[in-house]
Amino acid sequence: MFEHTIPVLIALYGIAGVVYFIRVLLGPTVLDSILAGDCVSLDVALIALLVAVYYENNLLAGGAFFLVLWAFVLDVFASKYLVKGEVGV
Amino acid sequence: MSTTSLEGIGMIELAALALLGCLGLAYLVVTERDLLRAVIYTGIFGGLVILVAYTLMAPDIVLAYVAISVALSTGLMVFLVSKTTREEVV
Repeated sequence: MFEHTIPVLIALYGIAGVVYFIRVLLGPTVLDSILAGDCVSLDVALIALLVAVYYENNLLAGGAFFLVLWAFVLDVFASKYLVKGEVGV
Repeated sequence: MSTTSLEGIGMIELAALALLGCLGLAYLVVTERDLLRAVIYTGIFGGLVILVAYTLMAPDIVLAYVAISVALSTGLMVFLVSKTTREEVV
């Protein structure tokens, strides 16, 4: 029963990622696109963790956390640009 | 279930779908006029490449590529957009 659970979950998160990406394309403002892009990054990280569970390999699980952290850094850069007009580096 | 080989249900199809999404995102990045939105597309492109590397069992590539593609490259491009104009002028 449980051997097909993780591929089904990966497919469901993939469908959710497609819905997020439609919002990235159709977002009325660029802020909606940034938020939806962040959601796509979190979705990809969840799929990566599910792939790690599927392969039963603990080395694969570490990179997903870095993906979430660096996607947050992208949001910080875009937000500083939209508020101040410069990144401030 | 083997832990080192690429076998199982639909993993190579997942990699193929992610690469197909990369192709569509590359087209969107080239044709987009709003440069900040193009930078966001570049970040999502990096996320899909990371998913391909995960599916093909390459976690060391992921650790290097996620920092460069998602954060450093896109941050540098946002910095460049802030120094120039946001709309693409032909």
